Amino acid sequence: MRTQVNVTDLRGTFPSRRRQSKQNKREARAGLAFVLPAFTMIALFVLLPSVGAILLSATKWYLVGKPSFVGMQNYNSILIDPAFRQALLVTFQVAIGVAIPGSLLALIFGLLLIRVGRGVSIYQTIFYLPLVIPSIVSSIIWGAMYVGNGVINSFFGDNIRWLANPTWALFAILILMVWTNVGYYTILVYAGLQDLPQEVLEASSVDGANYWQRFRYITFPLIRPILLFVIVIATTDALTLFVQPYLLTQGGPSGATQTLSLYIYKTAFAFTDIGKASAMAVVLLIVAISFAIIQFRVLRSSDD
Amino acid sequence: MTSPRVNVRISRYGVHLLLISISFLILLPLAWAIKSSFTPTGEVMSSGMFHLPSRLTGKNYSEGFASAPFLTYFINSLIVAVTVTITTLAASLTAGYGFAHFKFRGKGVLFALVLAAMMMPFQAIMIPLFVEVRKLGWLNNFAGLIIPGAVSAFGIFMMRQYLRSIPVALFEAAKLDGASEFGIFWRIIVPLSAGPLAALGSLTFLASWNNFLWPLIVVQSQSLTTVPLGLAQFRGANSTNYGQMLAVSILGALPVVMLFIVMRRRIVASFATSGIK
Repeated sequence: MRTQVNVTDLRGTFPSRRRQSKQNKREARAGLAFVLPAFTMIALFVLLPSVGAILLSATKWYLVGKPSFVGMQNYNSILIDPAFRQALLVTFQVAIGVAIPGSLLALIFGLLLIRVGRGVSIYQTIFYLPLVIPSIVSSIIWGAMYVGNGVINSFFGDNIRWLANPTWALFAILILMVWTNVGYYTILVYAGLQDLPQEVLEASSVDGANYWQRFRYITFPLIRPILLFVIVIATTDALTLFVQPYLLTQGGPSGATQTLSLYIYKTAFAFTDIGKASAMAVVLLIVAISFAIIQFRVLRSSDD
Repeated sequence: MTSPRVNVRISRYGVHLLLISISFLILLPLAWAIKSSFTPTGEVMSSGMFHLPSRLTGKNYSEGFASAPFLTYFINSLIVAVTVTITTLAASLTAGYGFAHFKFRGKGVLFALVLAAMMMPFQAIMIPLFVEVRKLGWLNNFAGLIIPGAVSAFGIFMMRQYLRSIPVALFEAAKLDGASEFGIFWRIIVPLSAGPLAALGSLTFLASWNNFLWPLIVVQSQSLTTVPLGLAQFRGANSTNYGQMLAVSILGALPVVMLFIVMRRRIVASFATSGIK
């Protein structure tokens, strides 16, 4: 499957077997010397903690004294915890609520961008800006706009309690997330559109296919993997969504914007219920890795 | 015969018109924030989206910046982001090269573990990482802020992908001429990788500068507070001082926005191809 760098061809040029194996050993040693320092860091600060999360999830521990083994008890307790279920639901709502408008807008923006020759990089830069500025800054800006007597209400002449009403608060987070990520999704769609065979599109327009027909039967089937990719990425984003609800709503009102990540953070660092928080972290780990594998597959299949 | 051509030209203007409108909508919150940061702070809420304030003032910047130790926050953020960027580049290039062009036992397993590490969201491992860092005595110091994030699995993956595309012949010749492994790395691999390293370096600096969650967990004193943390605290303490709040926020975003504008081509290209931000 993996195409390894083929050094064996070259090795045929060496005369003796002994020299060859000596050469191999030297190469192996050099390879390890290049890889091991960085790998050790990854092992210590990513891999070890991921095992640690699984171990901690089988204990009861409040950061003082020694953790005591409780088996699956934390998993049982999160299963019956309504706040955990709500956090899963909110995470799912954010995933859908960002993925659907996000991918549709990205599709429209991408189809517009592909028709621009010069100047496309200016649009790309602008579309990308919301993702580049620190999420704490964009949250502060939108938080100031969502205020009761703020610009959004005064512009539309409304009196919506954006961050104080459960439905509107979730909606407020969704708008912020779509605004943040749509440029990134657009660039993915645009990159996919660039890979489309232009000859097919041109031939079809010569054959009398109109814009909608070309889109429906040629463009859309070809970019479907990209849209799927966008949806998977939006879901991963929802799973790790933390800063925006942390700053704007603290997960409220009544848990309406409490994502899984935020609930894990609160359980671990506000209530110091390390065992329970770790059980939820393990759930997050499993879901996130499943989606990452799908993401890899999709990326690979669209490469073929 | 001329009609289709005219059609295309009109619709091309239409496309630009639509894209300009979209750009306008995307920039609107930022433009409002900049305008408001120069508005007398009592006036921010009463002046509408498109209304200019009665007068422009730079006071929000000077007073906002002085009302909390923002200079310390900026220095801290800079120390962390620069260090993390340097270590990430060094680790990604060396390990990426090792994975791309060497044969050794266990390489497949090690690389699979790097891929697994790449897929793990930080939120899933932050609790044991906190426990580990606490045990090492790194809470509330630069070691805890920097070292756990000093190497990036994504960086290793990205450089390995890039270096695999370089033909072996380029440095096998040097090897036959008797160049040492380190000599080949330093004189051939490093210069060849300047482009991808610039992209990875920018992305790393951006991510480090913008990081909020990890500093929130390990930092417990003002002397170690980073910019995003300081901004959140400022907002908590001055919840209605919108002028100053937006002014310091804009200052906090300025370094990464400037970096992005300078490096935008490389950053956008590497995003589009890697599919990972």
